[in-house]
Amino acid sequence: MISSLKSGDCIDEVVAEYSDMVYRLAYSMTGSQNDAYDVVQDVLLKYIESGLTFNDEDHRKRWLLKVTSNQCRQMFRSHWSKTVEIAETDIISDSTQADDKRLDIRNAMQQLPDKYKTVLYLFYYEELPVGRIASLLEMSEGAVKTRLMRARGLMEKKLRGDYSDYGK
Amino acid sequence: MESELKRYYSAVQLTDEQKATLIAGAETAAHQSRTVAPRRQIFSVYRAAACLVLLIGTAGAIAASKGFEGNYGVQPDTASISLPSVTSPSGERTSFYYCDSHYDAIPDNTSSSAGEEILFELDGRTYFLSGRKSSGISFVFDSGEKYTLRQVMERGIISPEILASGGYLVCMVRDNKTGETSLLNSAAADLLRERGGNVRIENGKLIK
Repeated sequence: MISSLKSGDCIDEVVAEYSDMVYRLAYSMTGSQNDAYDVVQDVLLKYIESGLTFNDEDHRKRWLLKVTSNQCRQMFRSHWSKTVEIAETDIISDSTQADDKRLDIRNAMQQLPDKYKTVLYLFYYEELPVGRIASLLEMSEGAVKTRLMRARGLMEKKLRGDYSDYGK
Repeated sequence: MESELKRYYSAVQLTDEQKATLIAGAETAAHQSRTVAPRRQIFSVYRAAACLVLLIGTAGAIAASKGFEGNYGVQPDTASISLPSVTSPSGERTSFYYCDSHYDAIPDNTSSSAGEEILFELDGRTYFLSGRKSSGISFVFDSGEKYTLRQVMERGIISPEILASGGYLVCMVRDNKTGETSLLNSAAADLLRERGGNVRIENGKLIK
């Protein structure tokens, strides 16, 4: 638990607690390790400058997710993202590559369009309900459900039925 | 499958070094936001707006008087710039390389720890340098290889201390005549000074 709910306080604790969360969402949305790192920095600066005092930890977490989502959208709109292609390095460490199953997952995930990675991440990793994902991504709940269903279908297809119980 | 997905995303995380950089930058930003009084902030906005108007007006007047189009009143057909040679990630020696940048994102004035704008003058030509936080600049080598700033740093071409200093002094230089951009860092600027170039650097101020 972070000792203060005021932005600008306990920065190191906030970074320790939430930077990975922001990074994962940014990576899901941008598909780029370096863009994601830029987004984390931008979000953190916005957080500090916001001067907000949050009601509780959940409020802070939702705020960070929302701002991350917006920041990624802003990046998509930039001239830079439309014109520059960057060679990405592997994001997963060597130690995880030893696990074939995990490698399958990773390959399948990397082939998914970003919009599907994002909803999978928010639903399965952050365990957010569909309604909250819809709010974060400014979509209807129906659209989120459709996207989740398609993402699951694509994953299953890519993994050739190895995980046929996926999504059940 | 759900647990596999969780493992996948668990692997997507920042390194300790990246977190340390974030904390250092964030603490600086937090300190600044606490120490700048609201009235000062408002004043800064007006002052920035006034400076911008003055800068645009001055640049426009100079450009008009010189009879060409260009930022910061840069004169065409002056001395060429010779950048220090560097080694590209593939080991190729090159004396010049280009970088693209977030033209629509820099200068990022949201915080002094974000983008930094430097103007300097060399042999009668004014150059615009801007550093970006981490990876906003891509470096395109003569060989066609393209890397982000972070990737270039990881390969040891640019010292990490440059970023760790908080100044983000890895910069791009744009030749306003040709529109070409290239990499320049503070060490390169020093080198240019040593070579006798009329280099003067003042953060955020147009040098005349």
